[in-house]
Amino acid sequence: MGFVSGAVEGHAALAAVGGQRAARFRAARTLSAVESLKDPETEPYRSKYSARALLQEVKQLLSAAEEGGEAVLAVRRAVLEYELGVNHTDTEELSAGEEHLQRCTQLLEPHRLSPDCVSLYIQAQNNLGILWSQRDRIETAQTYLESAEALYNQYMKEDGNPPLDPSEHFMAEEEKLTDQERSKRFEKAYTHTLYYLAQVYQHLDMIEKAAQYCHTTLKRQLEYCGYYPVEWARNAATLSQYYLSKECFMEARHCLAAASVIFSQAGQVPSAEDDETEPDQQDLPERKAEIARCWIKYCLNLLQSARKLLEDNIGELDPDRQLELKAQRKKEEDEKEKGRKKAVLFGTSDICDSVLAMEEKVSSVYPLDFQEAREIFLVGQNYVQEAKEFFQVDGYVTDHIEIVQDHSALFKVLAFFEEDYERRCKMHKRRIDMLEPIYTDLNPQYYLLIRRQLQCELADTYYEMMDLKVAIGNRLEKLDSHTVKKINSLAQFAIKYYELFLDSLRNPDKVFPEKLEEDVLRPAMVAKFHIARLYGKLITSDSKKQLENMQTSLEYYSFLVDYCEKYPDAVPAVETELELSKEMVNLLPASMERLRAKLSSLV
Amino acid sequence: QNATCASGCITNPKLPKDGTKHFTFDYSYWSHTSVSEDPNFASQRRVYQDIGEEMLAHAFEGYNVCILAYGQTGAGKSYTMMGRQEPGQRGIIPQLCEDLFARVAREGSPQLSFSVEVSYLEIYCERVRDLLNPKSRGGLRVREHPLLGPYVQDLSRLAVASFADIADLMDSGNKARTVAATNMNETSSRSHAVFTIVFSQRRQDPLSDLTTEKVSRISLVDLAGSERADASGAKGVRLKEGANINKSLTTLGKVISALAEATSKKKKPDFIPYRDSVLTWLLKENLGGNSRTAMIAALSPADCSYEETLSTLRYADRTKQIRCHAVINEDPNARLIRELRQEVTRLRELLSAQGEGLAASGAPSWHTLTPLSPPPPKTLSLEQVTTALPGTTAPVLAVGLGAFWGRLGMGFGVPPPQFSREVTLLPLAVPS
Repeated sequence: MGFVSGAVEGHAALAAVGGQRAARFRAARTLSAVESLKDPETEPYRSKYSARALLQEVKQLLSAAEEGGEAVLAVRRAVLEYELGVNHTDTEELSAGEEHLQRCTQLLEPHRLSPDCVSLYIQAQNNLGILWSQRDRIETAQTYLESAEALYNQYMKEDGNPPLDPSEHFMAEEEKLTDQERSKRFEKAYTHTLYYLAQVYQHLDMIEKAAQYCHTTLKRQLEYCGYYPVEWARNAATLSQYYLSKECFMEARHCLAAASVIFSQAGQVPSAEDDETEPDQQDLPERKAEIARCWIKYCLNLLQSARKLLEDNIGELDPDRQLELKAQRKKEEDEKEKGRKKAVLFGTSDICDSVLAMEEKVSSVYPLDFQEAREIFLVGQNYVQEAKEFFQVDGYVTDHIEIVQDHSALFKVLAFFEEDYERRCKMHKRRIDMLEPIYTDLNPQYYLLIRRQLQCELADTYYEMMDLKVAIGNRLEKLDSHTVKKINSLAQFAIKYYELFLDSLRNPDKVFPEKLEEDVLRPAMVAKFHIARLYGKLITSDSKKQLENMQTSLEYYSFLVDYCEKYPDAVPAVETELELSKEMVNLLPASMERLRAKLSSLV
Repeated sequence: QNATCASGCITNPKLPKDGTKHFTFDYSYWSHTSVSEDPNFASQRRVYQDIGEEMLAHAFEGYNVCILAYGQTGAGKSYTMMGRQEPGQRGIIPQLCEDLFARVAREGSPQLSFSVEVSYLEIYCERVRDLLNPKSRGGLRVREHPLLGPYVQDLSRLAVASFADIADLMDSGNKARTVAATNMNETSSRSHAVFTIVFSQRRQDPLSDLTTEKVSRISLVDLAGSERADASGAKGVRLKEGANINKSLTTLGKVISALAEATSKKKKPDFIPYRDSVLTWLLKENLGGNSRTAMIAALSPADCSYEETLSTLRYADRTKQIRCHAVINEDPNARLIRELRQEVTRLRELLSAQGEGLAASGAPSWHTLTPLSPPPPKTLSLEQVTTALPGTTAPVLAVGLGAFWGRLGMGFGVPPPQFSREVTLLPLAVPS
C-alpha cells in the first residue's frame, strides 16, 4: 500500500485543505506547462512565476497532521520541492533550483525504491543532471544521471510494477492513473535519463557509449510511441552517419531504412508526444531531402571503403585482393551479422517488416566488382536527384554544392571499379562537367573555402584524366597528335586550377603568404608539387619550349625545397614530396644543361 | 602578443578550498566601479579603442569583421555593445559607426567613394525579424545566393549617409527588440541581435578608368543571455516546453550529429551536418572564412553568479580554439610519386652515363641563375579578440560588473578576401 493511499480523512476541514491543495497544485502545473507557452515575449516567465507562488501556497498548506503521517508528508514535500526546483531552473535561477532539488532527494532518500517515490527520485536526479550540465560540470551531472539509471534498473529488478507518477501525490483517489499510464510516464522519465547520459558521455568524449545511448533512446521512443515521425526519422538518419564513420554499414543501413519508413508516416499517424501535432510540417520536403543526403553518404562511404580494401599501393584495383575477398565473403555468410543486427533492431514487428523491405533495396556488404559497385552507385545517384530537387543552388548554395561534390565523388569511386580507360575517362569528364559551372558562379568573398575545395578537386580530376590519356597513348604504337594535344590541354587545365587555388591564398595586395597557414600548408605544397610535375609532363617537340617547361618545373620544385629549409616544421607534412623535389632540384639543372648542349651542337 | 595578454582568476565563494581557476585572454577589464573609485576602471572609450578601432581598420582593408558579445543575462553585453545615451556611456557599435563616417569624410575623393548600408535583425526562438521594418512580423527566411552569399530574404537594407542616420535607425531598431523582464534583469535581451554594416569602397583608377570595389560586412552581434546558449553559443531559444520533457529530446539530433562529427575528425566531414542555428549559419563565414572575429564575454563578479561566470569563462576559453578549416580532400598521389621516382632514377642514370652526373654539382646551380624571389614578407596578423566586458549593475541584485576580456587565438579564419571582378560586379540590392 502506498503512502498516499486514500485513507479516509477524519476531519472535514482537513479534507477541504486537501482539496484546495490539489486544486492549486494542478493549477500550478497547468500554468507551468500550458499557460507559460502563451506568455508574452516581454514577460516570458509570467506564468512560471505565478506557478511558483501557487506552489509556495501549497507548501504552506502542508501540515504535520497529514493522513498517513510523516512519510506521506515527506513525499508531498518532496514533490513540491521538485516542482519548485524545476520552476527555478526554468526561470534561470539555478542556485535556488539546485537547493530545492537537493531537498527533494534528501526527503526521498530513505524511500527511493518504493513505488511511491522511485519515479520522482529519478526525475529529480535527471533535473540535477541538467542543472549541473548547464554549469559545465559534466562529471557532477554524470554522477546524478548514472545513479538515476542504476535506480531504475534496481527497481525493475526488485519490484517492476508501474510506479506512481509524482503528480498523483496531489490527486484524489478517483483521479489516480492507470497502470498503463503510470508505466508510460515512468518509462519516459527513464528514456530521458538515458538521453541525458548520452549527452554526458558525448561531452566526456566517450563517443561509442554516447552513440549506444542515443540508439537506445531512439529505440525506446519507438517502443513507447513517444516520437514525432519526421524528427525521429531525421535523428535516425543522422545516427547512420555515426555508424558510417565507424564503417558499420549494416547498422547504418538499418538506421536509414528505419528513417525512410518512419518518415513516410509523417502526418498519417497522430503524434503520440503529449497530443501535440508535429511542429514542422512545412519543412517536410527539406527533411526528406536531408534523409536522401544521408543515403548518398551511405552509398558513397560503402563504395569508398570497398575501394580501400581493394586497391593496391598506387590506387589501382588489385585482382588478387579481389579474388581473396570474394572467397572470404562466401565463407563468412552472415552468421556474425545476425547477432549484431539483433542488438540494433528498431521497432515493433509491423514497422520491422517495412524496414527490412527497405533494406533489400541496397546492399550493405562491400561491392567487389564493377557490377556490384554500379548498383550502389545508381542508388546513390537517385538520391542525388532527390536531394537536389529541394537543395537548389539559388537559396541553398552550400548544400547544393555539397551534393554535387558527393555526386562527383560517386563517379570517382565508380571509375575505380571500371577497367576500361576510355570509359573511366568519361566518368571523370562527367565530374568536370558538374563541378566547373558551379565553381564559376561563386563569389569568392563568401565562398572562399568552398571555392578552394572545388579548385583542388577540379585540378585533381584534370590530372587524373591526363594520366588516363597518357596511359591510353602508351598503348598505341605511336602517339598521334590528337592524343598529344588532348594530354597537353588536360595538363594545362590541371595547372590552371592548381594556380587558382594558390592564388586564393594571396592577401588583398595579391602577395603570396610568406608562411602558410596550417590548414592550407599541405594542399598548397602539393599543388606546387603537382604543377612542377605537370610541367615535366607537357609534351612538346620544340626543345626551346621544353627547356622553358623544365625551368618552370624546377621553380616549383625549388619552392618546396626552399620553403622547408626556411620553415623546417613544414617538413613532416610533405616528407615524400620534399625528398623527390630535392632530387629534381639536383637533377633538372644538369638535364637542362644537357639539353642546351644538344641544342647548340645542332645549331 | 603576450604584452597584451591578460589573465583573470575566479574562486568559488562557497568552496574557497576548491582553488582559484585561471584564464588567459588578450585583454581583461574591470568596469564595475567608476574612474574615481578605481584607477583600473575601464571606460567604454577604452574598450572601443582596444577592440573597435582595430576591427574598423580591418574593415577598411576589405575584411569582413565580427564582434560577438556573450555572457550571463545581466552581465552587461548590451551595455558593452550598445551602451546608453549618456555621455561616455555609448557602446562599441555607436562609437564604431561614428569613427567610420569620420574616416569616410576624411578619405573620400573623386577617385575613392564609399557607401554604407545597414540592416538590423533579431533572432528570437530561431525566427528572424527585421528590426528596421516595423511591419516585419518575423520568420524571414535565411537563404544563400552564389554571388551575394548568405542573406536574409526581405530584410531591409538602408543606405545611410551619416552617423546620425545610423543612430536613428539603431534607436528605432532597439525599440523593436524583444526585451523581457525577468527576476535577473529588468531589460534582458531575450534574442540575438545582429547589426550589420555593409561597407563598400569604390576606387576609380583615373588611368584605366576601371572601377574596383571592396565590400566588407561588419557584423556586430549581441547574443542572448548565455544561460540559454548551448555549447555553440547560439541557441537562444527560450525553453517553451514543460521543463524536462521536450526540452532535450528535441535536441537529440544535435547530439547524434556531434557524435558523427567527433568520429570523423580530420577527414573531410563525410556526413550531413545538422542544420545549425540560424545565427551560426548567418555567421559561418565569420566563424571561419573571410573574417576577423572578436568575442567579448561579459562577466558578473557577484558571488551568486559564480557558476554562470565560470561557465562563461570556459566558453570564452573554448572559443579561442575555434578555427574553421578549409578541408581539402586530396587525391592520393601514390602513382605520381612512383612515376616521379622512376623519372629520378632514369635521369640519374642518363646523366651519370654521360659523365655529367658527377659534374652536376659543378654545374651552375639554379639558384645562381635565377634566384627565386619570394614575395616580400607581409604577414597579416590575424587577430581575434575575446573579451569580457563591463556592464551596468544588475538592477535586481545590485551586482556590480567585472570586466574581463581577451584576445582569441591567432589566425582563426584567415584567408584574405579576394577582390576579383566578380566582386566588382556584385549587385548591391538584396533579391526579394
